[in-house]
Amino acid sequence: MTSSRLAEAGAIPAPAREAPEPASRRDRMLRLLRRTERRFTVLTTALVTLALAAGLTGALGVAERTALLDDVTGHSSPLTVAALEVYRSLSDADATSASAFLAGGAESKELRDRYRTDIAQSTAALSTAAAGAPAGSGSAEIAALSNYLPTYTGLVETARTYNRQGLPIGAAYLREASVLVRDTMLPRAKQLYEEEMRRLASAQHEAGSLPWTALTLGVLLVAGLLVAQVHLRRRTRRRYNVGLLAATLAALAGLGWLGVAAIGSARHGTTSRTDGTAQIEALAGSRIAGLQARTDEAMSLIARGNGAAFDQHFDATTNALTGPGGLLTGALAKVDQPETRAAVDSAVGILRDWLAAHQELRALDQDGKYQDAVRKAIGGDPHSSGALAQGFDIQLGLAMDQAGGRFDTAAGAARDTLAGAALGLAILTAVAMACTVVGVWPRIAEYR
Amino acid sequence: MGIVCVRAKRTGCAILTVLAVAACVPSAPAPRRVAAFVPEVLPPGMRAPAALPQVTPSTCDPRASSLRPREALPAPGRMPSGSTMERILRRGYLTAGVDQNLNLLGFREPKTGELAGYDIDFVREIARAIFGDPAKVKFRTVTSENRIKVLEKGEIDIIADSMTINCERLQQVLFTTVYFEAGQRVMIREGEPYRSIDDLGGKRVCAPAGTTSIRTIAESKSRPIPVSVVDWTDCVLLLQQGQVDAISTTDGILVGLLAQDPTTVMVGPRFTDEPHGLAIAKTAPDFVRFVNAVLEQMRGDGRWRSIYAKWLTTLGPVPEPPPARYLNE
Repeated sequence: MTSSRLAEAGAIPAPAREAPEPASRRDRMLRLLRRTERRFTVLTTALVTLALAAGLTGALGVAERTALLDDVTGHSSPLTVAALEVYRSLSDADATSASAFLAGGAESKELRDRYRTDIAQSTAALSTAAAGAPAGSGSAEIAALSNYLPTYTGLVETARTYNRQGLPIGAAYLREASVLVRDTMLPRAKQLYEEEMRRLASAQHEAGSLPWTALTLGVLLVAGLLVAQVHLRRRTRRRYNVGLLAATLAALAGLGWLGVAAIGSARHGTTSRTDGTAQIEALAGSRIAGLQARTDEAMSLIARGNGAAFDQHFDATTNALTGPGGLLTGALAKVDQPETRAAVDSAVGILRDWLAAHQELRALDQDGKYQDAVRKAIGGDPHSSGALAQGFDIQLGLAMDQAGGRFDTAAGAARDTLAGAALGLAILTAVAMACTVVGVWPRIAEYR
Repeated sequence: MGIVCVRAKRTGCAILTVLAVAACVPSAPAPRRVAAFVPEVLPPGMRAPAALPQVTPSTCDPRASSLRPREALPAPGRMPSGSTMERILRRGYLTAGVDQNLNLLGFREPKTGELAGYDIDFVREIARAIFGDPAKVKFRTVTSENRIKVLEKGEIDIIADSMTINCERLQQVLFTTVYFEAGQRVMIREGEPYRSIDDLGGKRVCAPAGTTSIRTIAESKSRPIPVSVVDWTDCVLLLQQGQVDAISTTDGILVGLLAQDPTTVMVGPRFTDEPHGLAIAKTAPDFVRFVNAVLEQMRGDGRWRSIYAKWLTTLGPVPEPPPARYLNE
């Protein structure tokens, strides 16, 4: 109904004990009064429903985002970490077993322990991945990896046994083991990791979206409450309706809370991606390339003159790392934090030294100074290519740990920002609903 | 108000019901069955059946293809001026391309890490003839693919890498007289019924890619399946893992492989004749004549026999040294 017709109907609530009027006019008046009463009822119902809808979508939206963030921190992130751990520990086992083999029968306790730790870590990470992976996703990769792992360790032990006896066939077993890891296991581990990474990214993206429906409904509720107050003011000659005013304040508070919490959470969510997972992803590629290059270097020496394929792979892998379009440059572009940049810069420097050491090593091997080449590869001095490769790995591991720490902080903050918002919205909604009813009810009662 | 209340309750109830139902969806799915499979693991670069290298058939006599020594062997340290040997002498060391992966022929002694073997000992004797010191050698590791290229570029003086003298290679390099007579034989797991290459029809037989052995396997009358790998030791691994039934190559190499696994045996007669020579660049015929003179001396003074006895007695008693035969110039 338009306001002009409302004015025509008379803005004064009509008490029943008013002076008698002619029957027809009285009937018309009563009808009008009924209509006003109904209208107030409808208005109240509409406002209460709108409040309920806004509150529910808001609270549910917050609950959903909280659940998504919980999934990110409690499920997707650990699974991604596990998948990455499978990928990294297998690469490390490959590089370590090659270095240990190169040292001959008497491999160092340090390398032996490192290899055993790698195998233990990949087994544990595979179990984590298997327990947490949703049905169907990654289960084929996990099953295959679990199946290959004992075969791999068996080959490595056979290689080691022959190596202790000084028999060249040990090298054949190690080559077979290394190629099993590289050509069969690592691609699967990579697939598993990328799948988890994708899932994590999409969960992060979803958790970071703003609850537009709830926000729109909230704005509509505030607008509706204001319109209702203007309307009541005209109809009842009362300046303020305390109930509706309180309801408006509650609605505004709810809307504000939801907006601040959602925007804040989304911001932290984005940070957890840019400063956390996106960097981990970029750094992991470089770190694993480094481990593979180290394997190539050792395997080429182990192949004793028959390692051209490993040399080519070393060159291809290190070329992919360095250069303007390389993995390390790509990783640096994603890193803003000075401490992490420092770690990556240091890795870049170490890689440069490593490549120089590698050239020396190759020249020595070519000149028939095999023992010197081996010493250059595994010797204890800090300029041996083995020490440099390890330094490269340590620096990138450090950078990844830092990015992981930032992810945890930001994901936690995203979750904390939403804390209490669902309950708060529920209470504010209840307050808004109650206040609306309490505010309008006496006006309706006046018509009874 | 009453209507509002009822509606609110209903809506609330409905939402609560939905939430309750959602929360109560059973969370324990049936266990996934994982099918067992036995991983098949192969060494890198394995091919079955093998791709065969192309050879252009040509006729020559590999045994009588070398150059006759012209004068008596000069005293160590006094090489004729302008000769290749004098250049080597002035450089201070001989450079030789060798394999470090052929057990007993050219390999790294596991304990010392030093190169040793039948081929290595011949290189040391040549160094002794030039310098009077067998240690004055710089070894360079070569592969069967790159060795001729490295020699042609002048980066090494001589190849001592279990090389069969054949007409195709004679187009590219000069060979010394025969210093080792080898022939292709078969190696199997102990207790298996195969007695020669003829029993291996349809069976998988292993040798490295690009060798004459793999071609000989493929062209055998019994038609075995040739399986090629990168390295000789890969063949032993495949034999141990039951992925091939036999290995077939020259007996000189087979003894080195047999030494690594006591459960393998060599069976059957030699079914090829593969005279081995040391290879020298076509630009240094004087050096070929010099090395041939050294070899003649070694045949006569017992050094040839003692080197053979040191490494290859698993092949049987030390034979007569292969006679020197030369081109008619």
